[in-house]
Amino acid sequence: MEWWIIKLRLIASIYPQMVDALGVTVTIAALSLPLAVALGAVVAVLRMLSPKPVSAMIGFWIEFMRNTPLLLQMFLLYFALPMLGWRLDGLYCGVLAIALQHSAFLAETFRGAIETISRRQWEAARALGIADSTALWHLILPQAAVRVAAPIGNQLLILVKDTSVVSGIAVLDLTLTGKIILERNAASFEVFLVVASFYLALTVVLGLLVRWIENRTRVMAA
Amino acid sequence: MLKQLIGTLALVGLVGTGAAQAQVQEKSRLDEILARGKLIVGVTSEAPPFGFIDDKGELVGFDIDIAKLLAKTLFNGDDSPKRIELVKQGFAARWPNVESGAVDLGIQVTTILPDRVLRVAFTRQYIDSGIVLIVRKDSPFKRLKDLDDAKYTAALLTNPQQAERAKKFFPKAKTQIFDSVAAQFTAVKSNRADAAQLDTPVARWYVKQNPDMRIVEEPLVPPTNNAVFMKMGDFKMWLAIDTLVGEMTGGSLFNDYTAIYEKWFGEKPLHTKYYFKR
Repeated sequence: MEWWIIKLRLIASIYPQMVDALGVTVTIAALSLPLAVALGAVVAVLRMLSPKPVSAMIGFWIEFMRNTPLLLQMFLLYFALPMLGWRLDGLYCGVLAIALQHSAFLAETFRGAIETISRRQWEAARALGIADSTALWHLILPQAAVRVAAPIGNQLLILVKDTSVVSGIAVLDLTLTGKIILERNAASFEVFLVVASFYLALTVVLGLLVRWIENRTRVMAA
Repeated sequence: MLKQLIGTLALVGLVGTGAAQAQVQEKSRLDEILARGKLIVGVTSEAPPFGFIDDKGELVGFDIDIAKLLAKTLFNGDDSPKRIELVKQGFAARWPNVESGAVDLGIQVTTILPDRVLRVAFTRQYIDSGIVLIVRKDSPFKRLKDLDDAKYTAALLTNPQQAERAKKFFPKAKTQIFDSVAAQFTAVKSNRADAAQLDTPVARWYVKQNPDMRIVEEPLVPPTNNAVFMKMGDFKMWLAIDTLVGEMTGGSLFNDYTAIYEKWFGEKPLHTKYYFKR
């Protein structure tokens, strides 16, 4: 019995600090999430509609962003840019790095979804004299949207958990705050559980939102 | 009265001989080391410049060189690698390893602290430690209070001691908290922060590697002592090692010691007899 009270008191004592940290994590997620989706969509469409050399360059950009660690990209923004005289606040470095990397993944997801729509539909549109961009917008994208909803939901959950990398550049998010509390009270197990529960709360809410959007797109497409 | 006195004296004599016999019977670890022809030292491989893996994949560092000097001295100047075995151990494993005899002694960035003195036998110190500020060379900081301004940022580690010191010495400065010493240092170097608190020898090593950095020569804490440690109760072993450490920091081994110190910290030893400093 005693044991429970001690644990609960410990958890209660770190709660206020964790709520502040939750605000920071939510801010980063809320800024980087729409940025990543918008950027990913733009990159995917540009890649499809651009002439060969430009589309190849975009392809290279996507590969670079997908295939180097997020932590490293963020360190470059945070530590290397000030040496060039450009000093972006740690929080925005985190947002930018997360948005850039996830936009590359999302662009590939979008492209994959668009390509699953049969070539014949493009050909049919062309035969009817409809421009490619019009066909994409009115014919292909609505169908692709339904197929893309689930994988995007997945990607966004990963994005939220990836916000923890900012703990490496002195942004007081859930993870770094957890580490600081840990150094003070040495109660590793309890603190990690509390931190995990905060992330879980966040991703559950996001998951419900994604599910709702998924259903909406299905309804709209039907 | 006289009888009583004689009786007491006899008793004291008896106890004395008994203790002497016990000492003779208990074999010192030192004899074991000399008989086996090899010194086994517990070290770290995770704390540059004391013990770390270099570009070539070899275990090197200040503590490693001190261990090698100790072995060389014990075996009459024989510095062949077979005279020493370096056992990489975690910081938590250092106490059980000397206690169980897995290693003869430990040389592992280990600070003498009052509560440790009751668990393990320390020699005298072989290097000073402490906490200092590292700053960019072109920065204006001369004393700790120079940093006490809202326009400056101090890079801290996650441990609470650093936050307490920041509050004590430069309460007005902004703070940023990093989760590793490397990130903390990089923040200052890359102009993200203006100063960072580091262990004194670590700071000296970083400065040697980075000529664009310097140390603010006003320590944040009194100096602490890093020492060689071993199992308690083996007087012969302890006396020999302690004496050798004393010879290193200010005696017949001082030249060897100085060479090692300069190799890792780029300057003469700071914590020796004052007339050795020049």
